[in-house]
Amino acid sequence: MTLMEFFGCTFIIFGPPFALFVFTIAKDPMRIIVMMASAFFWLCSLLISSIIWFAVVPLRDQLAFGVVFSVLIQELFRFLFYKVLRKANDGLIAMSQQSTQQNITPKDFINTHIMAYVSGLGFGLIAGTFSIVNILADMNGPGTIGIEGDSKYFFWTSACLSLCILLLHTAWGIIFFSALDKNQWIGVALVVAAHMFFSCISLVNQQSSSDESGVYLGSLVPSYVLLIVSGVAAFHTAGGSYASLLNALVCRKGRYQIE
Amino acid sequence: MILVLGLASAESARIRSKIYIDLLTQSACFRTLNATHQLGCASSQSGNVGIVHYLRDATDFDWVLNKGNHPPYIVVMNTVDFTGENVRRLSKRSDRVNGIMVISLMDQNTTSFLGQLPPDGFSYSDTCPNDAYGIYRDSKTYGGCKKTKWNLAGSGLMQEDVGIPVFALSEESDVNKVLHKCFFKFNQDKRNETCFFKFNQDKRNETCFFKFNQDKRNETCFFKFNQDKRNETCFFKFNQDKRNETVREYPLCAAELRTEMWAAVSSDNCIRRSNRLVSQITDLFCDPLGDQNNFVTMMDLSETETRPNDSVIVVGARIKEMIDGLTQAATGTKVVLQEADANQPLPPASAQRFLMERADIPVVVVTDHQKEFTNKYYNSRLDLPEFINADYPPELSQAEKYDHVTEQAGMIADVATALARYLYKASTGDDPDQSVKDLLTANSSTHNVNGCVKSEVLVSLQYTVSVWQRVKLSDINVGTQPLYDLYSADVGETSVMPYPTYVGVYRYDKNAVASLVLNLMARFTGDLYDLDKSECLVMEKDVRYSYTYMQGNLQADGKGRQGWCFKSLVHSSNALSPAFQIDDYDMKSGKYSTWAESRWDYDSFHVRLFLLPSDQLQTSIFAFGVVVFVLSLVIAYWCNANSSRIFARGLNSPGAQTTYSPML
Repeated sequence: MTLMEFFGCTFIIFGPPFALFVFTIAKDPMRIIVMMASAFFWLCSLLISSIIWFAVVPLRDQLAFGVVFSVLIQELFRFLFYKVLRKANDGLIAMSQQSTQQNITPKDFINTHIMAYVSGLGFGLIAGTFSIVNILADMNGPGTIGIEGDSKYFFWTSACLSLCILLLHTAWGIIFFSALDKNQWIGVALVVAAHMFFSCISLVNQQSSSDESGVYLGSLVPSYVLLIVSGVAAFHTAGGSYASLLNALVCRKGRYQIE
Repeated sequence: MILVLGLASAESARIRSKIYIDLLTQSACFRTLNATHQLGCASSQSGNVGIVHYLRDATDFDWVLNKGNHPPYIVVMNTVDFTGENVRRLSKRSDRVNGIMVISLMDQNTTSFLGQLPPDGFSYSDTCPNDAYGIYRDSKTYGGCKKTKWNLAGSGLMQEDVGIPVFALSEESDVNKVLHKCFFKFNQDKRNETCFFKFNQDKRNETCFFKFNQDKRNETCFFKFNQDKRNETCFFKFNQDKRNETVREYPLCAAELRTEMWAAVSSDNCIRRSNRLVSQITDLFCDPLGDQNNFVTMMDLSETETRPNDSVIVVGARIKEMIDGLTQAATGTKVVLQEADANQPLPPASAQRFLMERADIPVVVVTDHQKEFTNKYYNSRLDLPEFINADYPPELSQAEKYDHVTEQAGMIADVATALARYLYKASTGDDPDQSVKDLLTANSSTHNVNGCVKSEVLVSLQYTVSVWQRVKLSDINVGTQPLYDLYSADVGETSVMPYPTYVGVYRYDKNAVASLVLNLMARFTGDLYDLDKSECLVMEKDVRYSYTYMQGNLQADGKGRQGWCFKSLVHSSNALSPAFQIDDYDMKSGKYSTWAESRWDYDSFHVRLFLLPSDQLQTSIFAFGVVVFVLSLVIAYWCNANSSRIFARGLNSPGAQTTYSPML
């Protein structure tokens, strides 16, 4: 009965990462390995976070406490993954060489942003999955939320927020890795700050009720503004620019015109 | 990882609790089977879902059955409307009605019913109970109750496949949830309501006018629970003229009714089961097992069994003499025995079973009715103490109730006295003199047991069962006797409630309530012997008497218990129909009972309330999801295809600029 809602939310949260995976990752086994490894690192961070949450008994009911520590630990594990990836760089290059005679370094490792993007997506995919999967499990019917006075937009908001954090992680992965490569600690700090901002703004959602469905906008709008800012920053970090984007568009136009 | 999973499930529970409100109710209509039919009701496997609608008057019936535009419905009914006719009307339209919930509240203190009762009576049995299994089943003159309809209020629902699940709401909180968190909040069409009467829950005894009252039949009453002031209950009267037919749209509140039952073959029927849980006095229901058991205990022993060396008194007499003797023996007691008309058939009673086997046995059935039953709520959940004169004056305290002899208990004691004196005379040939007469007078404590068991224990059990909570066993008393003392073994002070009250089906592990009733009878009818547990258990081998060991009361110092060993004439036998034991038994022969009841666990009944979203919201979320998906596919493809141009600046190696493509 609520199957439409269920599939709608599933498409919202898993549609974009699925598209990214299919077109940019699925054909390259090395990228799949790196993505899975980064997802594993995120899981480890969740484990550590939950141990801390579990151990500090008096603060278990305080969501804010768990959120702050979880953000810090996630970023710590992103850093660890960066270190591991850079250490494993030579080995990975060796592995991806198709024969011993081959001396051409694969493009993935020449352009460091590609692996940063792949590991960011891995981080985001698992984070997004964990934030939505319980809700999806309860959504499949027969009832929908609201009998206790909660907003009917809860599912939709949850899906959109999960998608937001998924894409944010992808962008942050690029910014974070690039900043570390260049030893620009300000970039790292900005990513941690942005993550903290996103997580804390989501605490606002607790205030929601059916009478004030607008409360969700209070977290959704800043989150997506943050996503646009982070996305543009990551785009520039990875070597894109407004001009190159226009160039790509025009180029395609030109191509069609020739045809 | 385990920790992570643990966290995940904790989160899951929270969201579930925001979507669903679970009801406490554990009483529902159940499935029964006989050799040829499946009767009763059960939900579909995944549960029956429908929009909750409260039936208050004829307009609501019309709405649910014809007009309403959000079928199927789960209807909520008042007890007064829950009649055979109405249930059939609703269950016939299974495309529009998917389940029934009946409001059935009782006052916990006085055991009286709250709200209106059906004025014409109500009974699940049909008008001619047990006809198919009795002595008249093939009779042209008496079969089908041609002479006398015993149970005029019989709706016959018990003998029908209702098809949709039926639940009783016996908890105030359940009713509150269904009506006020669900129906009135989300589904109700706007109506003008006026609160015409308020009363305080603490003083319920004083306001009994709303109980079954024929004059007030045309007023629609129901409960309103004021959430701010829990004590106040308000009865509403709908003003029929000022209805405003505003129809609510989605999101609407729906309910899911789900029952998980399976047929239990080794059962002999619906005996002793009603919504009143256990009846010590075996009500006749379907084909009563009690008859079978009574008869079997008196049949000849097989050759392999050894016959105990006891003297047996055989009473031979003719019916006329028996009746005269009984009538004479009853003089001096309060009962007046009258002979029924000669062409009056036997009422549904165990005696019919005996006569089916041995037509030459003289049989006298003592009843309180010449024709139809005096109880208008025969065998239903409304079969309350007050309708069989077994209730106590409300002002009595618990201890006073113990000494109070209810009208019913007094009658039974008098009948028992008359019977004992008659048997004395029939067996010795002498009229009993005064000293013997005194001996042959029913003991007041014994007839109290009857009253106690009927009302006190059952009611306390019933409430603990329905409330579904852990109750300290030591808190339950029968009069002044703590129930806990009567357990055969220490079961722990906080044994898990509710009691397994299911006694209809034979089980290898003894039913707790059945053994409790047994112990209760032994405690009040038997003699206390100074034996310890092992000695008492050895004595159980004596076939004439039974020796029952109970853990006894607490010692004065509060530590340990001094066990009791009661010698009594209380016996029990297993409820097993020979139909299921005899190989190649012809199930259609009708010789033995083939009734089988369904069995279920404690958590087999589920009722939950939730909202169903509007199609508009659902469609828009779905459409949004599809758009996001398709858009992201297009963008991702385009970005990937043009990545070398878009990210031209990001490539470190100048040579790679022209050749790089992630698609390689």
